[in-house]
Amino acid sequence: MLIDPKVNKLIIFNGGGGIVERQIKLSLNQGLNKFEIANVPASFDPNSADIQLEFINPGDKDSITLQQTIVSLPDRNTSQQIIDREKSAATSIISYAIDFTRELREKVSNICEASSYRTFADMKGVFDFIISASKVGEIIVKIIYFIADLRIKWQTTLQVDIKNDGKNAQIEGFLVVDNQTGFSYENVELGFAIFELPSTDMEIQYDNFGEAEEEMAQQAISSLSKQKRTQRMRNLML
Amino acid sequence: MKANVPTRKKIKLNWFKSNCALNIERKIAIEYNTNSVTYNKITWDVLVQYVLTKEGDPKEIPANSPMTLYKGGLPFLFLSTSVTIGNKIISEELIDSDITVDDDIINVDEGEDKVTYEDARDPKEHIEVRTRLDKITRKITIENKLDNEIDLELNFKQTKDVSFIKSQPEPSKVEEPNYNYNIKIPSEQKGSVILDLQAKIVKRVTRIKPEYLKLEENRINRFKDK
Repeated sequence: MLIDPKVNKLIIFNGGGGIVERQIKLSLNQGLNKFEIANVPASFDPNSADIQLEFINPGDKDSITLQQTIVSLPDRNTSQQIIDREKSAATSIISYAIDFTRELREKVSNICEASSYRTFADMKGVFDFIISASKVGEIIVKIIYFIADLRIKWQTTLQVDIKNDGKNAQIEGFLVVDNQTGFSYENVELGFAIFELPSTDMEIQYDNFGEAEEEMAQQAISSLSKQKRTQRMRNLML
Repeated sequence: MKANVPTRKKIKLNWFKSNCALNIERKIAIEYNTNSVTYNKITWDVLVQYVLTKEGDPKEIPANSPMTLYKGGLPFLFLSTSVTIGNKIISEELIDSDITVDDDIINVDEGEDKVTYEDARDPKEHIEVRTRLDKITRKITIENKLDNEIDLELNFKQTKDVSFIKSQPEPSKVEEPNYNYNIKIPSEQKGSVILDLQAKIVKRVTRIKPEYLKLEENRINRFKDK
């Protein structure tokens, strides 16, 4: 069964990416109940994806259990081919369109623009789960996953109005959320964290290791200086 | 905080608004080596930082967040934050282009050479080490081109080769190797600090040892006679 749980909470990292919390109330039949979650971006982290069950009746704890989750990401090559084809179609539409009416023009240009910005992270990932129920019942399911998409991030801007005495001021802080992903989040509880997703610099270095000896030595030195540092997520007090 | 975050859009949310105390910290860091201490003229940069001490709860602001300073309703400085410590929001360090610092040499008293020798790699040679202690006087002139009085901190740091003897005025605080001066300069005026320093100048020359030099001369003379 395809379900589209509402995004309740979105914690955004200032370095890009975030944590999505979704929730839905589900009716269960006796036996195995398989659900497919819609609108999961391909930027989600399959390893940290989590399902939590909240029992409406405390007595259901023994009769309703999460049997398994099934996660996967779309194939990168195939996705890229689809994206490229959509982009070239959008280019053709814009090149050959001459007499769109104003309303239609806006719709078409929005679609074309969306396709030109589309990347692998805007494709859909697979996140299914199976709940085993020994009797008919209802349950609240909470779905939590990381999104490793640097196109959603936040930053602060500060405006400082200095008073005439030059020693006092009024400071005003704003949070600017930049969402350049293909996903919208409606009426969500926003959280902000100071955090940067771990980079994959080391992997890139190992890929290049087969080259000249001198280069290897340089890379070894640079990898020493790039030893990982602790990075603890800090939530912003709103 | 609830909000809509639409695709491919930026949204701006109010976070906090509060009064704060503003403190402008200006610093000059001076340090010489054996070469630079003898330069006729050196210019130093004045680094300025804006420190805002906010009222109310502390807010953790990420480093490099843009900050705009307004005066009389008009923006006059664009900069970024560097760090927040509790209620203190500290800006990045900028070079204050309205304050100039000229550092000129006034006097050099060359000391007497003390010669010592060190072993060289070749047994026929040795390294002649000439060490002398020069007394150097330098004048640091700070000009305030702003339309208000400024307070700044000048920090002289002595090194293994250039050490502090005395200064005019006396340092406000001494924490070796740092000598700090708290200086107040009225608008469009100059202030100065005169430093008396001692520089250890060491020159090394590799020479043939005298006993080998005589043998070498004899050999050349014999060759000429033939």
